[in-house]
Amino acid sequence: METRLLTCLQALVSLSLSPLPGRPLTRLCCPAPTKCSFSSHRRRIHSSLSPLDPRCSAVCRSDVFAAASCSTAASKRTLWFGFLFATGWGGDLAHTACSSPPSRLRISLSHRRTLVGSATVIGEENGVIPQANGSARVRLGATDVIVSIKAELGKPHPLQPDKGKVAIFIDCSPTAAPMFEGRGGEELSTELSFALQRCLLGGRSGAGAGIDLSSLVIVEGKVCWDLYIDGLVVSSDGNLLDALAAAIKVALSNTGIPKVTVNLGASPNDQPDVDVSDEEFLQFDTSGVPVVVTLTKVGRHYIVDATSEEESQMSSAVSISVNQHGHICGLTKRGGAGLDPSVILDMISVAKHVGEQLMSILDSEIAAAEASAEDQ
Amino acid sequence: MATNPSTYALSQSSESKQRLQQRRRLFQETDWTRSDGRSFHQCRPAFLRTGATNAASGSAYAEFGVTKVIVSVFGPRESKKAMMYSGTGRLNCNVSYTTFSTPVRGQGSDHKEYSSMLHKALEGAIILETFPKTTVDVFALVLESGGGDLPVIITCASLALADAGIMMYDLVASVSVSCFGRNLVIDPTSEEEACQDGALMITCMPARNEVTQLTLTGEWTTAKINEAMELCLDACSKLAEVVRSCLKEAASG
Amino acid sequence: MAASSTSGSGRDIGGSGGGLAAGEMEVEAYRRLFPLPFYERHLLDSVRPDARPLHRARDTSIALGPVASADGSALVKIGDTTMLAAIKLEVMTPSADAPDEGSLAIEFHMPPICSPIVRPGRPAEVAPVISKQLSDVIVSSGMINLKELSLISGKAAWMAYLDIYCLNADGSLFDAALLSAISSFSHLQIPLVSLSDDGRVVAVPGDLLEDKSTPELVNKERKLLLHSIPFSLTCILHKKYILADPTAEEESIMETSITVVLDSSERLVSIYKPGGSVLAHTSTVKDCIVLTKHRMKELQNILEDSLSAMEVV
Repeated sequence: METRLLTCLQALVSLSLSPLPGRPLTRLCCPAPTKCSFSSHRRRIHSSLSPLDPRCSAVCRSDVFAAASCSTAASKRTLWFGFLFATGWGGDLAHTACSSPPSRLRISLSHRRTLVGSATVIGEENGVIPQANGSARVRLGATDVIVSIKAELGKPHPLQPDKGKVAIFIDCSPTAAPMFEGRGGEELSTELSFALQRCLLGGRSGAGAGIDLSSLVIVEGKVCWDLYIDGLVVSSDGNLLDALAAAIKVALSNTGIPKVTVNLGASPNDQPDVDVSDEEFLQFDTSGVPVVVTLTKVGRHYIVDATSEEESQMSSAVSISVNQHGHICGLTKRGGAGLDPSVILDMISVAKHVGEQLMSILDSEIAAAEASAEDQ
Repeated sequence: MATNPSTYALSQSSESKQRLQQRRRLFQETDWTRSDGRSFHQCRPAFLRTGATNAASGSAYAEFGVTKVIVSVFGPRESKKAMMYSGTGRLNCNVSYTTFSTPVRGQGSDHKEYSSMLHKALEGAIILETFPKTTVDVFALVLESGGGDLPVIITCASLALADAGIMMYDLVASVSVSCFGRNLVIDPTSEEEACQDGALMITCMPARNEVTQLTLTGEWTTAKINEAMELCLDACSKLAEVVRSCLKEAASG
Repeated sequence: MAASSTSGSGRDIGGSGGGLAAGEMEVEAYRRLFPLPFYERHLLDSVRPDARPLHRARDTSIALGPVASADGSALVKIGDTTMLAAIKLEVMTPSADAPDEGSLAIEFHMPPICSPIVRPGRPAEVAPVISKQLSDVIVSSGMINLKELSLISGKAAWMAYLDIYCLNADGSLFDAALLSAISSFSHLQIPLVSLSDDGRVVAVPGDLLEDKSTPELVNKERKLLLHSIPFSLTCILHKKYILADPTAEEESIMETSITVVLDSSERLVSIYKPGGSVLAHTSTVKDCIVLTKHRMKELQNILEDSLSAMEVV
């Protein structure tokens, strides 16, 4: 049965058809305004967003937006991308018909920023500080992930006094998929956490980090922000890493870090007093945060945004994170089968292409939502 | 014995902290010499030997510079009771560190990330169909960590698997490269790893020209990735030859 | 197993060529199916399957300083049993009731690599037992004067973390662990330290020793003085036989063991006989003590040789 599914998938993929029943490719192409909910610091507002790109058409559901588009490649074959858009490219990919059944991307920016004054006590002398929360929920087809971000005051690592700290924890809810029951999700959870850390935090020296750690420092060597990024996989239908990375990017974009005023202690060895404002927030710069594109190899082809069904038949998958300069910020390979080095290089160039566009759309989406939030 | 938790390791005096800063700056320059006198594209001398633990089905010891690793392979043996029936064999990997492997005494606990990376690097090379219903356990212990730990573990594990007579498509060799500014430095020491801008690690089966595992951190251009991959793949095939000759020696001796 | 196949005793009785191979097979099968009769047949001839006489311990070697990042370390092999021990020194504030004494923390680990019975997350049952025995023996033997570990009375003292890893478990684990522990203590090099401005103890790098600006050193001795070093020998008791230094196979077949620890001035530090089906006569215990005395001389020589070899280098 499994082999039949594989051949069936391969056949469909090479014909550019969606293997999912009830999701013919054309249905996604109904142009309509996109809607997205976005709330500012304490108020909740709804705003409308116009279609993202003239080439992209979007599907609308009450609180949802999804987009997909098609274009014709040199080979006159329609290429499909699950992620928001599609692009065609020419002969360099002749051996890899890059197509995938598009699943819908739904992002709701739930900006519930609650100030939890008494929740956490940081250090004895600092007393109680309010906590800022940023969060985002991203749905890709049936994949549903939530990311929340907490900023707490901490102490920089002694070896890296000029950097804040970021911790990423991903949890796979036991209800998200049958295989996550009991302790089944643990291994995947740690794998996803490490993959995201690799993609977002850059090299050891901090070069190429998606999240600028030096911006988190308050007093060098003494006080810094610790960002806790907690991701929860609510429902799993493949492509978790991409969804989580997108959610982290969106969540970071509406994370406000409280403004702090520092009173340096009398002697240089004293821990400085830090006053945390609960009125003013500094916006986090997320332009450098990369997006992750996972290319899943099924048979001889590789596809973007694979569903669980497709992932069950994959031989291997490569997750590539791409930043705004088109540079590769991290790469992880999954799946047992080996890959020819030239295929990997080809995948990287494909991912760059896909990532750049996904990035620009996510960025403009965030900007538009923010702008409309300020208007209100 | 009740251990006193309030102990601290000897901290480096302020002079050596300055040295660390100096070294960081140095690494950013275009030309510097490595502390062990190697050229940028030269690997550490590799010492490999099979049969470190005779209670295991197969085992190997690897020493690359300061990094010292023992890998034991057990099985194929009965899978855990809770495991469901599987028509193909299972691979179970575990990497742990000794408490004294790092300069500052650690907890010596299991390394979950490396365990899963080791699993991913090996599973593509092992013919799991040859031992259905059973499990092969690959356990690694890092005796001393001196940089490039994971590549050494992977290479050593592949030698141990061969020593245990587990069927594989090819030997697996792994090499990492660090990126400093514009320079690529192969097989970094831990001192170099601590200051690197980015790192790329490749695990491959040289005879089949297949990459079983590839990880990358830091910011890279495509051209740089190309260059680093070529460098690593070349080093991998040379390393695989060393592993092969070690196996031949063990078989003839 | 590899060692036993090369041994010339008892079982290589067959002829040559194909006959030998078939004979080997049968012996190997007999050994697996009827291990006890197999051993008893050997014991009748006062020889063991690995060609050792009953009272002889396996070849023993000590390599000092295999772990560069530790302050003292030793790799000990007794036959195939391999132990790696390393000491790391950290600074602690001594307790109020013993202000001028340092402290020892000894731990024995059996990582999954050493034996098929240990799996990750399921540690071996014997590991904590051996840990406890080791620290009892080392503390009660008085080998180390804890006062030598003091740095500044009431303020700072050394905490010596001794971690022993079993790399290959092939019987007589306690003997090998104790030998690796004492070897690593005799290899221990105490770092020279000074007091920094903020009251912490910091290391003084070797190249700064001549420097006049270096703050005054707190300690001068780099070596611990080891008094009456304990050595041990484990024996298996089976019927009237005493088998010194058993392998893992022998331990699994014949269950009664007795471990004797003597210090270098031949005083008894500990005797450990954890039950078992054989009830030892006092004469048997005496025999074991005599065997341990011989073994102690042997081990002393091996340790001295490795220490002097290190000094030459």
